[in-house]
Amino acid sequence: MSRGFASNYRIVLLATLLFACFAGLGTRLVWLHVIDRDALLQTIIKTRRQVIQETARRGDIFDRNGAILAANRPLILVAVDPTMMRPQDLTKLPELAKLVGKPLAEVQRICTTRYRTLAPKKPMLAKLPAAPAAAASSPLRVTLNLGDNDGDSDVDPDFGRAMSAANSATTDSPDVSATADADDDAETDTVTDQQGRRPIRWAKLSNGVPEDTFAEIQKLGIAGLCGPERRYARVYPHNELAAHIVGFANRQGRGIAGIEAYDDFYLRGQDGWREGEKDGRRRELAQFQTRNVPRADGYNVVLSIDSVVQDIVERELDHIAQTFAPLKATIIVSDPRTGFILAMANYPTFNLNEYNRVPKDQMVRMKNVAVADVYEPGSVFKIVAASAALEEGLVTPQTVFNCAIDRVDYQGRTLRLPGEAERFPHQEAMTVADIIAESSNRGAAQLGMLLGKQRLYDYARKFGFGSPLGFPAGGEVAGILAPPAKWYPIDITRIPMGQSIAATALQMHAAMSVIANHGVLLRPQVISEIRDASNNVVYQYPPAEITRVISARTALTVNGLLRRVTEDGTAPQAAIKIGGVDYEVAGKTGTAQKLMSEPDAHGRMVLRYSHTHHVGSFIGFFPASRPQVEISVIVDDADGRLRGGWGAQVAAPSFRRIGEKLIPILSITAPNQPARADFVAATEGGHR
Amino acid sequence: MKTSGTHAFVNQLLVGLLVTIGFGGTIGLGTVWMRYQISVVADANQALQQQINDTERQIADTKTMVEEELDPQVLRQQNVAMHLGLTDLQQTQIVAVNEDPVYRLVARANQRMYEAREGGPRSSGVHFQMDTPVPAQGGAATTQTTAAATRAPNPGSTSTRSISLQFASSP
Repeated sequence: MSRGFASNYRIVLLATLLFACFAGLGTRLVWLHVIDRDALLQTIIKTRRQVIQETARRGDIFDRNGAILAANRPLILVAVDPTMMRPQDLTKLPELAKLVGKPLAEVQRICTTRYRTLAPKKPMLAKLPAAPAAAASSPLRVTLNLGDNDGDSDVDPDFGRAMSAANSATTDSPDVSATADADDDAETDTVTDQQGRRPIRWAKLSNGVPEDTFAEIQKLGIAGLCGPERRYARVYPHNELAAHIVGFANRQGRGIAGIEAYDDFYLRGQDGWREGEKDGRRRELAQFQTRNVPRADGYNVVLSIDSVVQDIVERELDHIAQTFAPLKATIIVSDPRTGFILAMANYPTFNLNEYNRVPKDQMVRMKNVAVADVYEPGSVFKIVAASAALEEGLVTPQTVFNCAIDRVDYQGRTLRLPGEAERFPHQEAMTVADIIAESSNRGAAQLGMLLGKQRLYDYARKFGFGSPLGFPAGGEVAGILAPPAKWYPIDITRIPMGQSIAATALQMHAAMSVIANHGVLLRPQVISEIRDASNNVVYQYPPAEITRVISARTALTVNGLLRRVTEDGTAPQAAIKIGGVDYEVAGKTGTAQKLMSEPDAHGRMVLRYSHTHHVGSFIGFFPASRPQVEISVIVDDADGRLRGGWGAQVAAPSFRRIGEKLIPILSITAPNQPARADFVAATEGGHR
Repeated sequence: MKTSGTHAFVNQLLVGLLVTIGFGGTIGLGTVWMRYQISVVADANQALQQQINDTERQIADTKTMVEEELDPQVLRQQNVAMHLGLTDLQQTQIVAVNEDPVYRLVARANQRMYEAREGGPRSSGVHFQMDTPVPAQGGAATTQTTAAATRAPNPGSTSTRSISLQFASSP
């Protein structure tokens, strides 16, 4: 038999060596895994563990035809670790600077600054209030002496003060400076070195470069280049289009203004993250991933805005700005049957992609004046007094009023009736129909007195004045409508003609829609749908009725009265007739004198209704027998090149031009032409 | 190999040890291979996920670029730059059709076709059979079927297919 394949001592020696090796290994393992475990684990966790954040894609904003109004552009944030930079990397900095689009000196400073010395803590300073923006541009922002009202003055002092405060230019202007760039450009290590400095482990070179540019940067082979941090930049493909509605989000992806702010909850989504380990070259070790929370992209928001209509409206505003050089102007287009806004634009406006470049003294451009500013509506408000009087059965369209008198006794006081327009023929007998068609101030005042304070106030409230309509974008204000107990005696003659009351452009638009919509006030809406990231409808906004204001019969009667305005009334310029087809425009002009500060006989500044500064407006709809579109044109202080600034001269022609363009685009059929739902003429540049 | 006595014990121990080392090594190598394969699969999954993300990002970027090019201001500039001479749509360009468009288009297409072939208008060889009468002033869409029986105007000239093609190409 064999003795085996080894001698005794060799076997023992080999076995001893093997056992010694195993014992040594075991001892070392015990040392590493038991005795030194905590210290080593800390080091390993610190060096290998990483949490990678995955930025959620912010939802898009679409118009009703699917055009993208707000989208995202993928970018990669470029950063370096200055402590990892090698001497040979510094020679590549000129090329790096070229690729990230920064001056070489700045790139060199970022890449070579390896430490940050900790500065001593400063005492916290109280935040200084922002400089009042555009104070000079607002004629209402003045300190005024308001004299006592003697019952014969045209100005209600309380109303004057309220107007001055309401249209302060700083109201609701988004504070861009505080949110534009809040992220830090460098991150330091948490441990300080012996000299009290903290090594900079991450320094930002660029907020975002495209993927292909980043690939070129990677080709440079710079050791200190940090891994790609992908993010999205918010972009607005149409620049100024619907700027005040869409609003904007800041660099951190938080909505600041407009729909971006209102629907931020839906739009922003939820960032994902995953926890795992990285290797020595900072590459993620996917197999050591411990937790993974996937990102949830934001929901998409579909607006009722039609970008084609919005473009038409904005071009018309450009035309108004060039022709009349107004202080500001607003145009609103909506479907009166549903309350959905098709277009809303203001002048002046701004570029959404450059919101942070708007100078501080021009921040008023970012304000949605259609809902955030108030103005005295002037004669357009006469529809409220007329509708109320007709609804209450106090008058008929044929009821006659004496409009030649200039004073009238009311509740034991003699009140001076408002003056009429210069061109106005002082007729003694005017019917209610004439009062609306010719826009008689004295007739409207008598309608108001016939109604009484309380009923006039109640109807004004029902028409939507004095309270916000719930419009989502732009910081809507309530307007000014004091309760009857606070009215001055003169107010009962002034409110029916649209003075001593202030409303937003949207409130006036909604009030007119009551007539178009058979007496029902609908909530003006601009969001039509919320869709998830896969474009499935999550929520659909139906038309929302606020209240029935007047009966359908009264609405039809007022509708007929408003037809006369463009036929033989104050605004034949607004009539739309194409190829012998009359599109039956019903509407009302408004020319409100502006409250301006002027010196009195004693040299004191007092508020007075100006004879040279006006707000001209025309609000109407068509076809009157089957309203399909409503348009409001409001031009503030267009007097620069025009005497009078009447709504008929400034606003009514714009109404007609817009209406003519909308007829083919919205497939508006003439009253005598039957609508065909199955056959729509092709529209160039229309619906997609 | 000796299987009894001291030598036998040492031999067996050595063999056992070698087997254990071999087995352990195999297990270890297997584990390493398995972990490597896990990491390969994990990396592949990660790469695929990254690829999907990149594609989504590219789609978003492309959509944004397309939308920028569709901006009305850009289109107007292109219209000027390329001398296209396009103008805004006007209502006068549109002819309102209040009758049934199918009937109207078929009649017009056939009229043109026979005029072209015969050198002038003649009695039509096309017979229309309307299941329901066309409303003169209906307004809303109507459900009706139109059956057109065609008879070739001369032998071997055309078929139903060619007629329908001509109909489709007529303005």
